[in-house]
Amino acid sequence: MKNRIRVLRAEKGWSQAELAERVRVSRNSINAIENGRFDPSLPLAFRIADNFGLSVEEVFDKTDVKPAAS
Amino acid sequence: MTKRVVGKFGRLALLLLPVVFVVAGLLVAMPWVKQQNPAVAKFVGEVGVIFVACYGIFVVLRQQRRMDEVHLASQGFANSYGWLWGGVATIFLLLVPPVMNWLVDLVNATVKARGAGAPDTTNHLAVQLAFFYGISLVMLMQGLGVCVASVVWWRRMGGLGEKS
Repeated sequence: MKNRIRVLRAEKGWSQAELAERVRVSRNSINAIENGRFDPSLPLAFRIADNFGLSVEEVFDKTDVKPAAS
Repeated sequence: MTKRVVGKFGRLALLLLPVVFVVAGLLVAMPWVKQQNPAVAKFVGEVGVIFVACYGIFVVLRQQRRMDEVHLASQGFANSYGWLWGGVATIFLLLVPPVMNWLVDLVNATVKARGAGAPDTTNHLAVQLAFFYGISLVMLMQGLGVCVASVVWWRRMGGLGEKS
């Protein structure tokens, strides 16, 4: 899932390690999420968004999320 | 950061210390244990093995509590594929004649060193040792498989991230 974490981090001047500490995960976990390789759980997505003072939709892009099979 | 890394390894070392004490204690007490009744020696050995196994489970559960969701997913991937890869690798390894011959020679040499029967005849100790070495090889290969699968997972996840 695409996201704006890298851009938002740069705006705040935070390193991956700093964001990781704020949301209580490891630095490599933030790297995996930031690169769109790992989709975070809803609680973690909320924690990340909260740290940027934004909503989940403003941080994570849902355009490449596959719709549920009908 | 250095302090944190030292702290992390220090905590792990502290966690593993009881196992080191028990194993070292058993090794030191070995001459005394051998002089005792075989039932006592067997009991001491079994208590040691059960302690190490239970403590291993405790350490794994404790470490798991500290993991975040990406690490838990990594562990799930590494376990599901690593155990399989390790098992398959062991089967292929045992198909290679030199490896199988080396294991047979190892069992024979150990049996001979302990003076328990001729090396070319099957006996209780030889069967026990064959099981022990066989299971050890499977565990070693599965451990390696888990490590390889873990590396594969983190490479797929884009590496370890930027240096801080």
